[in-house]
Amino acid sequence: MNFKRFIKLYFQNLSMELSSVTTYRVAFFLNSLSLIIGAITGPLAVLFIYNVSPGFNGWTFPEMLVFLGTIQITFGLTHALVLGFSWVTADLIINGRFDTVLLNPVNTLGYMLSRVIDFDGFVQMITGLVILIIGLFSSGYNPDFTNWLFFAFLVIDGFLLWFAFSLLIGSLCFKYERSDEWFTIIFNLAKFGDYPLSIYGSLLSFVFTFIIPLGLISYYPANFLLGKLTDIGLFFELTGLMLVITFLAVKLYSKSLKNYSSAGG
Amino acid sequence: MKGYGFLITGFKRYFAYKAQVLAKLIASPAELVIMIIVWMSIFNYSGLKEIGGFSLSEMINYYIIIYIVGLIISDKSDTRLGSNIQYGYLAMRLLNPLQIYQLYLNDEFGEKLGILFTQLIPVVIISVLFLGLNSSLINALLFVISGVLAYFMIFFFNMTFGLLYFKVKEYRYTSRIKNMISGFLSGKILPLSVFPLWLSEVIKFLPFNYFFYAPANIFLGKYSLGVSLITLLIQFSWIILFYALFKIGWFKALKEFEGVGI
Repeated sequence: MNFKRFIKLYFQNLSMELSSVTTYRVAFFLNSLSLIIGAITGPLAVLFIYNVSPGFNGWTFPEMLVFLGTIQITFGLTHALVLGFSWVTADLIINGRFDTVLLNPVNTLGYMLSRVIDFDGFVQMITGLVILIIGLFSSGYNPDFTNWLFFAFLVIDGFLLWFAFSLLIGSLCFKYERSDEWFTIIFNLAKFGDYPLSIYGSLLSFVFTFIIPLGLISYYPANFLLGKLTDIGLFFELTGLMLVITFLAVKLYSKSLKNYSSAGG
Repeated sequence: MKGYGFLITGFKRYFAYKAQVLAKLIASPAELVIMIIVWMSIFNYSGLKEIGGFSLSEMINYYIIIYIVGLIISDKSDTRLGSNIQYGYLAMRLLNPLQIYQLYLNDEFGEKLGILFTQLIPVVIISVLFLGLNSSLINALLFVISGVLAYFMIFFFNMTFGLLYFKVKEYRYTSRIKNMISGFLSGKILPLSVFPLWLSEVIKFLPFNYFFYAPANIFLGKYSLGVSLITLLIQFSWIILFYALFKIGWFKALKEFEGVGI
């Protein structure tokens, strides 16, 4: 499938998702509201902690707002573009409808990605951006263009991490039924990335930086945005690592797809 | 026993997808581990002996108890009712000789039995042996009673809330919003003593306080015997209130119910 065709298909599915949002307006509103409430409870809890203690090591409350806003931006991007990937794959396989996807004259991975666009993710991203900007204003820190550039690339790296997780679970779905349940494990383990890595000690910090880079969900993007980290070498190491992980995840997915033998494999 | 079949069904359904059970076993303690690390870090960094009236060991025990209470009182009866209304299964459920809440309760008990053997007992043993979880016998006993009452409170609260779905068709996100707000105000995320004073005073008058925070405080010995007994009495009163509200609302809703939603 050439890129132009993929983009056309992607925008067609995007327009279908938009139609769905406008048709089920109450559902969209309530889901968006739940995402906003979810995004607000984190900063609220952190505010209460800062009211009674000095809070997290090396992080002021406004900096924590930037940190928490970044989580919402990274996850919002994931939610908007790939989050439904493993569940949709699992459902299609279990119901025996994945074969119809294979009959389409398009790249399977591209087609599946175009099917899982979710507008709610954009609401989450906007909420995150608002929290982040409030944090930046309160901290008095004014990031320059380079900070924003590092931030944007590292947020994309964080998104790629979630994409790799989705591909991993999607690949398992070809072999084992209801493998999408394993996403629950990933979701819960990814909560380690919801707090600054500095609280975990050196061993876990290393693991969450170079083995399972959960630090990319927020810790590293927020650090580079706030100018707390300026190590370009680290930036390239993390970006390189994510490119390798994503490449391996795509390869794994392609191999699993080739071995798929219909009706749950 | 009239609902025995539903209890067995609930138990079997819990074990139906082995991967699901395994995923829960591996995934669910992660949050507890994270909260323990977070509070150890906060105490270590601040150098404070107490935060919100809790020492570090009390705070760790608090989150272990919250985790245990969460296993006991997790309840999805409102979304179950919402889905039954939306997809038209409620008409079939109404033909059953059991009342709807008895049916759901038996089904939930079946799942709880599964949770008891696979999660609750192992977590309690590990917490007592390795994480220093302890309490006096009387407090532990009062905690068990409070935990059971909290379950019935949340069950009838959810059933009453579920009546809303006779009017509002979108039950999934409505329930999620309810769970987020009640979870936050119940002390599940933070002890209520860490909240600003005015807010914790307001929360005292709400039922959510008795879902997590009160049972945890009873276990930790933060309440005197008298206060613990009054807490149990208040929990019981909330159950009666929610049960009555559910009964009244249920009969009114059924009068308008037409089989396939509303």
